[in-house]
Amino acid sequence: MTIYQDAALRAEMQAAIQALVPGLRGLQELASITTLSSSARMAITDQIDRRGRRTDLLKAVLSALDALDAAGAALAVDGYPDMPKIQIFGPVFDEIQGHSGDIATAVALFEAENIAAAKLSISLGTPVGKL
Amino acid sequence: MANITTDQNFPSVVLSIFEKDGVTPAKVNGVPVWASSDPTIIAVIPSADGMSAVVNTVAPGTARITVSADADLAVGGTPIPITGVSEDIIVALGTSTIAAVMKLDLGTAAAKA
Repeated sequence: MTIYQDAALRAEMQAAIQALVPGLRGLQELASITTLSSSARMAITDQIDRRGRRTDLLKAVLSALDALDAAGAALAVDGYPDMPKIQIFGPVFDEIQGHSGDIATAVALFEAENIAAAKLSISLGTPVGKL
Repeated sequence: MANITTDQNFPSVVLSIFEKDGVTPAKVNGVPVWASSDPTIIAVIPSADGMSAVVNTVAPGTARITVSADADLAVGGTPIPITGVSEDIIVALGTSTIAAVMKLDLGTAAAKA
């Protein structure tokens, strides 16, 4: 089975998270200054919140990639794309086979409906000069 | 009502077959049969599958095309005749068959008797 892992996307997301870290750390240090005006503190807090939100979104993409990898691996373990026949105990097989005749009989009870035509329409088209 | 002249024809007359709703396409049993109400005015040449025809004009007058088919699709069932009729086709004399020049031949002059 082909596992479609988007390593480039994963690397990009991880790099983007790391790129946010220094700025976030600096903003948190700034926010710890006790003499900040309320306006300055509000601006810093807003930036911290934005970076936190961006980090959460990047991590959500990484989680989705993890889930994709896990689902693909489980599918491979399940034998995908093969879907072999199931071997069952002889009498059980005979029982199931025994129903096939009944099913065929039931299917034969139906036929496609013949819907009668009810209207003929004649379209003359456009007259043209005789050749 | 469709107007046409004896210089013209309808090269592609198309038959459409519908169910009762007049919208859903339907089938008929066998090949539809085409006819002219007056072969001296219009002549019909159907295609092999009967789903279209060429209509040629013959002479001035008014005529219609009729198409008949069997609407019973069951093999061996009782035929259900169904007929379609075209609009009136009014055939006028084309200019190619109208006299355009009259010539008088005076002959040779002769002394009065």
